[in-house]
Amino acid sequence: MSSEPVVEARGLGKAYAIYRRPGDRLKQLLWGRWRRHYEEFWAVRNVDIGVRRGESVAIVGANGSGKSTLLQMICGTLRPTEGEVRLRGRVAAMLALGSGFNPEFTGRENVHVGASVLGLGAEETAARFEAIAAFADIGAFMDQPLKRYSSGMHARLAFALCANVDADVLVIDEILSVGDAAFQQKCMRFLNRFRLKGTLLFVSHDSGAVAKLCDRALWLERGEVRGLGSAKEINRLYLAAQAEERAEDQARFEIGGRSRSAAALSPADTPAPVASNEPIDGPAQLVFEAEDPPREIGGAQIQTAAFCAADGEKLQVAGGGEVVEIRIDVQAHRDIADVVFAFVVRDRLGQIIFSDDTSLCASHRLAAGESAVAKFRFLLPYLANGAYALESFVFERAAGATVLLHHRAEKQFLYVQSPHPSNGLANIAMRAVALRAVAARGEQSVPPADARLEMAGS
Amino acid sequence: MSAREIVVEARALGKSYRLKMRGAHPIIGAATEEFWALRNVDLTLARGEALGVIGENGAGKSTLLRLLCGTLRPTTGMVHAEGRIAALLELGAGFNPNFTGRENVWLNAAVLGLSKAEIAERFDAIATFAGIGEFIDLPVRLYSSGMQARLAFAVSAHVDADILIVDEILSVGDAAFAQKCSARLEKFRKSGTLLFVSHNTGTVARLCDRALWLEHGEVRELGPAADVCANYLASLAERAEAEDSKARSQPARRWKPLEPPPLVNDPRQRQRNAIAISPFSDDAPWHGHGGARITDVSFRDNAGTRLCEIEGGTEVKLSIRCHAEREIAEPIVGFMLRDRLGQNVFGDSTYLALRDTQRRMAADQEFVADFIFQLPFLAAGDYGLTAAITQGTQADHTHVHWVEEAVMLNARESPVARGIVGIPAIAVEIEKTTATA
Repeated sequence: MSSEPVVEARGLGKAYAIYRRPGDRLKQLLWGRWRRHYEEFWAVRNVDIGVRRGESVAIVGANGSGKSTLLQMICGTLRPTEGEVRLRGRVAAMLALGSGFNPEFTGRENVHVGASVLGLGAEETAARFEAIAAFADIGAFMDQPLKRYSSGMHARLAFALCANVDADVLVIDEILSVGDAAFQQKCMRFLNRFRLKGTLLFVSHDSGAVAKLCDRALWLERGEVRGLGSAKEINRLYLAAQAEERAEDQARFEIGGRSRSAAALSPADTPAPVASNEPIDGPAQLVFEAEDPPREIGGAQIQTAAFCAADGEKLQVAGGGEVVEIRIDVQAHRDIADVVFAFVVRDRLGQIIFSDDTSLCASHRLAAGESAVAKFRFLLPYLANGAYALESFVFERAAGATVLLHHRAEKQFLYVQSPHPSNGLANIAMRAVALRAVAARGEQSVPPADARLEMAGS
Repeated sequence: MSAREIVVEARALGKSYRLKMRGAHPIIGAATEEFWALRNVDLTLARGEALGVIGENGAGKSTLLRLLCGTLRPTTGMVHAEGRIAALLELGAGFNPNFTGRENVWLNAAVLGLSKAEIAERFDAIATFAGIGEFIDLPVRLYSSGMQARLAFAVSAHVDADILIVDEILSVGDAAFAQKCSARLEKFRKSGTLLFVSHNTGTVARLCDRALWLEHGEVRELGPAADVCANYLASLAERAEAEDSKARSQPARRWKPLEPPPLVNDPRQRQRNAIAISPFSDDAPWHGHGGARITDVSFRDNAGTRLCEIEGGTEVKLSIRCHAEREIAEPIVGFMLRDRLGQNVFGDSTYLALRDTQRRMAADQEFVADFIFQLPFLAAGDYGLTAAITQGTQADHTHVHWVEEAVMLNARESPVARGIVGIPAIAVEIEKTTATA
């Protein structure tokens, strides 16, 4: 990571003139040289930020805090009133929907115009056109004028273009408003790869996305920087500020305490260290990189991979709290000494929420032409609402190494509509919840005082 | 419910466009194709009813709303609506971008039939609701999409509309504003008629009595909101799968929760997932308006002994001890486990379990909230456990005492190779199936 900032803003500010009376506008025009007839309103003021190569920065804040204005100034579509922006490298921006596109031109024409604006030559664009069209995946609409596009198709085209111009910096306003579940997985896979080397700047109201996708966050309030720090810290302070706004008695509202790292689990606090993982009988656990799977060598094929209900019926909509089985059907094309199945389940951000594999099960041999099914049965947690993608893998375990035979992604989705009120990524069912009054000292519980309820597991 | 007054009625409603085909002659033109954006929609809405309209992009949702509020003329059929209609259609519709927010409020309210005196009287309420500060005196073209949505919603919330038509507007606002809008819509529902378009089936199911599912311009289903939403989601899932030619075709199915949590038999249980628990810190980052304090957060065994280590995949009891300094009505005690990045892993509160009981914390009383649950396997790393006392309801509450990282957890060894959590499996097995013919 070079330490030179790719995006650098110094004392950045944008002011607008507010004329209290229409006549003031005329006065300003005539005598503005001598006296000001308007009030200045600063949408953004005094923003200093340096973003280094490979860094991801989120901009958070309420509506009207200046987030979009700041992004526009950084991309150069809005001229700052004061301060300056310095950019090194190619900046691709996805701002308000459709900005930069001409509604009368076809998708194809817009891609060519857009790419040339971003500095690609005609030949380069022609060479990449297929990749862009494949990414957008809007079929024959590519040759229709943009005004006939739905907003989803618009977003697909814009993202496909930005993803294929070798941008050094990607600027995105509201990162998650793109397309359907499958397209979103595609975008997130691209973004996660892009983040490894590129610089990402985005605005989001989704604290989950901020926590997951960025290294630092910039918090704007009424156009000024209220905080700049780790995403976790900014999320925490922003939450507290929102709670303060809601409190009836703001005078009494207080914020305090110090953050501690888990290193605070100093030897004095912690119990005697536990023995390291006991050796287990049988095979070792499977280790592979799901984000960058090894090359498939073939020899077996995944026929289907699906979420099923407890009775084996295919499941497409779930709420959480029910028994779910993930089934992976595989057919062997040759003899496989020891077959191992694995799956991962990704959320809308493309991050793996949970996964499992059969590496700890007894070994299974498959002869050529034989089929097998792996079943993972579990109680589905109360996942956050949204679409979840199932990705499945089949490996052959051999003495020396484990090789990937076949891999399938983005074919199967589970739509979750959860009744659970918490916004955790994987909430679990409580077996019992109780609130009871206790004696001021000691731990004995007092018989049901104000409220007590035990829930049978559900 | 039966004899309620009908306020919106549409019969055989349809709208078609002529699309110019590619390759049409530039002068003679000709080659056009008729395209029905909406066709054969019959709909009646009674006073006080809330209808959600769902469907994919391009299904005709916006066309329907525009026909209903009269900004588009139907090709076939008729629409009849009684009373004042306030519509929040696509962003910026109804606003003149070169006028200031203030001017646009006056214009819009006047178009909706408010007198000058009425507007003057309500202007402050509208501006306060919108909460866009100084921007109110700037031209609307300088507004972000969030600010436009705020202003549009604020106007329509203050014109005493009989019928409110809302198109996906909550999605562009920040969380605080979205909450304000939802509260307002809930309130409006009690008296007025609501038509609501959204991609978010969760919101539709919560807010609406009935839902209308449009597909390719036609009515696919009209019925109780929860049922229609579930069927819609199932069809989306089916579609994603249809591309997968090898998938066995099986009918979609709705979830139903299954009873008692079954026993777990996960091979990963043979490995250790020891999680060290730090003592409670009363100087952890906290906020709140006070009245009660969290005095201890601990994991305990059945005998009530404090644990300094727990094991992933086993059942644990989390106890949050509170001291009420003054009486707290409707307290909610909750927790959230956050990972190293601050992402919420899981959490819960006493709200749902206890909402039907009288809840009150008497002044100067000690309280303990217990949560008993099966811990998932946790990936190796650090976690912070947030504990909180809030007051009110799940949707609308204030923070009494909110302690971030009240307890720190550290999973030193873990069988979770990938992912946020390891879900304990009931069974993992491989079966041979007969070779396919």
